[in-house]
Amino acid sequence: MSFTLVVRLRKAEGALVRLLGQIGRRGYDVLGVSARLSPDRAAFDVQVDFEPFQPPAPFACRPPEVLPALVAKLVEVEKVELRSAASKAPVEPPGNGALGEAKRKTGASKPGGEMHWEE
Amino acid sequence: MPQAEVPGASIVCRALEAEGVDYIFGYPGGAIMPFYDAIVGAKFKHILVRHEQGAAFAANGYARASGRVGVCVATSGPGTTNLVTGIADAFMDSVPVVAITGQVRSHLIGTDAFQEVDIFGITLPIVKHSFLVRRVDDLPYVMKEAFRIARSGRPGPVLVDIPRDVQEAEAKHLRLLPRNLEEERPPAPSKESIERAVQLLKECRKPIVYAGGGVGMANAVEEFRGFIKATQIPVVHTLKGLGTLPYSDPLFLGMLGMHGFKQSNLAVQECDLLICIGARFDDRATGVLAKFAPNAKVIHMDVDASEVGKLRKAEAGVAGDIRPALKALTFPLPQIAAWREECLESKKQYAWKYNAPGDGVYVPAMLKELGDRADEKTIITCDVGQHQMWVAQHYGFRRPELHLTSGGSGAMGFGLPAAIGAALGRPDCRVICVSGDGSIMMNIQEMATLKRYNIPVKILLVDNQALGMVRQWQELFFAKKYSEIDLWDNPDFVRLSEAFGVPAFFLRERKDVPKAIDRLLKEPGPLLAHVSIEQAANVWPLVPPAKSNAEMVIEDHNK
Repeated sequence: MSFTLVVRLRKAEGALVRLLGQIGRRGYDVLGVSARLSPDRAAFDVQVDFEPFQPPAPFACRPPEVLPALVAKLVEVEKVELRSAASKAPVEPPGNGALGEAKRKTGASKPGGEMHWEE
Repeated sequence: MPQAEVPGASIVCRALEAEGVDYIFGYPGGAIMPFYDAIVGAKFKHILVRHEQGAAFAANGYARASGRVGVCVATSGPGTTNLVTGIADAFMDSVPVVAITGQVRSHLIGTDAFQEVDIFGITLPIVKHSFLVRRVDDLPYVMKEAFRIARSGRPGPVLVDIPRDVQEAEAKHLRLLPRNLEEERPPAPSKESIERAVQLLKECRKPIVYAGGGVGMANAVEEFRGFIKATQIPVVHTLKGLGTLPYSDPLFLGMLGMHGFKQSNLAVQECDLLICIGARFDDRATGVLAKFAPNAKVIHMDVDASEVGKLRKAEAGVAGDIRPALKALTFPLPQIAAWREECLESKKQYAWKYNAPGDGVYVPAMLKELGDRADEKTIITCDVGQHQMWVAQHYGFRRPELHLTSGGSGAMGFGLPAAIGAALGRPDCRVICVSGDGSIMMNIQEMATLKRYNIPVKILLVDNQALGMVRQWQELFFAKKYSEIDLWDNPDFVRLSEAFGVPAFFLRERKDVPKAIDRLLKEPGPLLAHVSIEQAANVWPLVPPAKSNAEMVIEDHNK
C-alpha cells in the first residue's frame, strides 16, 4: 500500500536531498516526487509518494505512521502530513496522539539579538 | 565612527568563545588556515591531535563526559573524511558535537579542486544537521544554530563547512546572537499519553523498566531514580544506560541483550509491561525482535518522537521531555511485590561467580576489582570488542556519564581519544581507558597527544593477541575456522608506550592485579598497563545469532 507525504520545507542548502535521504534510507521506497518553490522562494512544497520497503520474511515493514515524526526532525521541515494514497485522507500517528506535537519549531530567527560585539 | 570589519574566521572564533567553549580538538591544513590564524590568542585552548579521527572522538568524549558541546576542526578533503567515523559515532549515540571543516574557495566548489570533497553530502545521513556557509554574514546565525541544534532535544552532531574565502571575507554589522536556554527545552509529553501510561502501570503485575542512554542525556537521572524508588520496578539497562540506576541497587538486574546477564534477559522475556525509557529497541538489546518481551505491553518514553513505534508498537507512546513524564508516573505499585521478589531471587541465582580456574589474569574479576576500588569520580572509556562487554558487565557503574563507550556505531579506536576529551572536559575526574590490542592500534598515535599535553589518562590494555570478538564468533558459529584474527605480531606495547614518552608496565599473573590497579588509581600523569591474557577467553553470556534473548549461552563455571 502506498502513501503520500506532504511536506513544507524551508529552502536551504541540501534540504531536498536531506528529505529524500531521510525517507529512502530509513526503510521506505520512494515512488515519486514533486517539488515546487513558493513564490517568495523561501520554501518548497513537496509531495513524496512512497511505500514501506518490504524486507525478506519473516521481517516486517516499517510502519508508515512513524515517517512523519522522522521527517519532522529535519531542521528545514516546517510542516508534514501523511496521507493514504488511496483515500487522500490524513493518517493518524501512533501512540495515542502522543506524536502529534512532534514538530516544534525552535529555530532562532535570523540575526537580531542583543549581544553586540562589533559595531 | 567607522565600523570594524571582521573576518569570517574571527567570527567563528568569537562565536566559540561566546558559547563558553574551553577546548577544541583539531588538525590544521590548507582550507582551514584562516581559522587557525584567528585562534591564536583565543580564550579556548586548541588540542592538536595526530589524526582527525582522534579529534572527532576526543570532542565526542569531551561532550559525553562534560555534558557540553564538543568541538572538532579539520581541513577540507582528507581532513574532513577522517572526521566521518567520529561524526557517525556521535550521531548513533546522540552526542552533541559541532564539527567545523574548511572547504575549498566558493568558486572552486564542484570543480574537483585540490583537497575538495563534498563533506556536506557525505555526512548528510550521519548528522543532525549541517551547514555549507555561502556568505560571511550568515556565520553568527549559523554558529549559534549549530550549537543550539547539537544540544537540543535528542542531541547530535552538526557540521559547519566553511569555504576558505568565507573565512577570509570581512563582514560589518555583525552581532553575536544570545544563547536562549528556554528554547532548548523539549516539549512536555501529551496529557493523554501520560494518562494511558498511568493506566498501564496500575494494571500491570510483572513490569520491567528497560532504560537506555536517553535518561542520562535528558538530565533525568534523579527523576529516574525517584521513579524506581517509588514504584520498586526491577530495572535492566542497555549498554549506554549503565549507571543510571547504580550497579549496587538491588533493583538493578543487569545489562540486557546479546551479552546481558541471564536474570535481565529472562525478566524481560517474562514481563507483562515493558517500560522503555530513553532506549530504542536496538538489535543488540532485543535479539530477535519478534521474540522480545513477547507477552508485554509497552510504554515507550523518548524525547525523539520518531523512535516511538519505530520497531515495536507502543501501547503508550510518551514523546517529549521524560522528566515530567517520570514524575507523573512516580507512585507505589503494591501489586508487583511477588514479581519483584521473583526477579531478585533470579538475580541471586545467576550472580556471576568470578571463579574461573587458572593463574592468568581473569578480566571480569580484574574489572570488578577496578570498579570496586575506583571512586565516583572515575570515568571509564572503552574501545570495542570483548573488553568492552567485560567492562559493561563487571565494572559496576554508578552514573551513566562515567561510562563512555561507542554503543551504536561500535567504533574501534574510540577509547583513547575519547579519554583525552573526557580528561579535559572533566579535570576533576580520573579517566581510565580500557582497550584491546586490536582497538588501541587504531588510534595509537594519540599517545603522542597524551604526552604533549601531559593528560593523566590511564590505559588498561587487555591483550589477547587477537581480534577477540571476531575470534569468539568464528569459534562458536563458523566451526572454528579462524580467518584473519591473529595479532601474534603485535608490537611490544610497553616499549611502544615508552617511545611515546608514556610510562608503562606489563602483567600476566592474576596475583599481580591488585598492585596494577594501585598504580592505575594512584600514579599521576599518563600510564599504560599492558595485560596479557589467554587468546581463548570468551565473553559470556552470549545470545547466539537468530535466537531470542531467552536462549542465551553461559560458560560452565558460571552456570
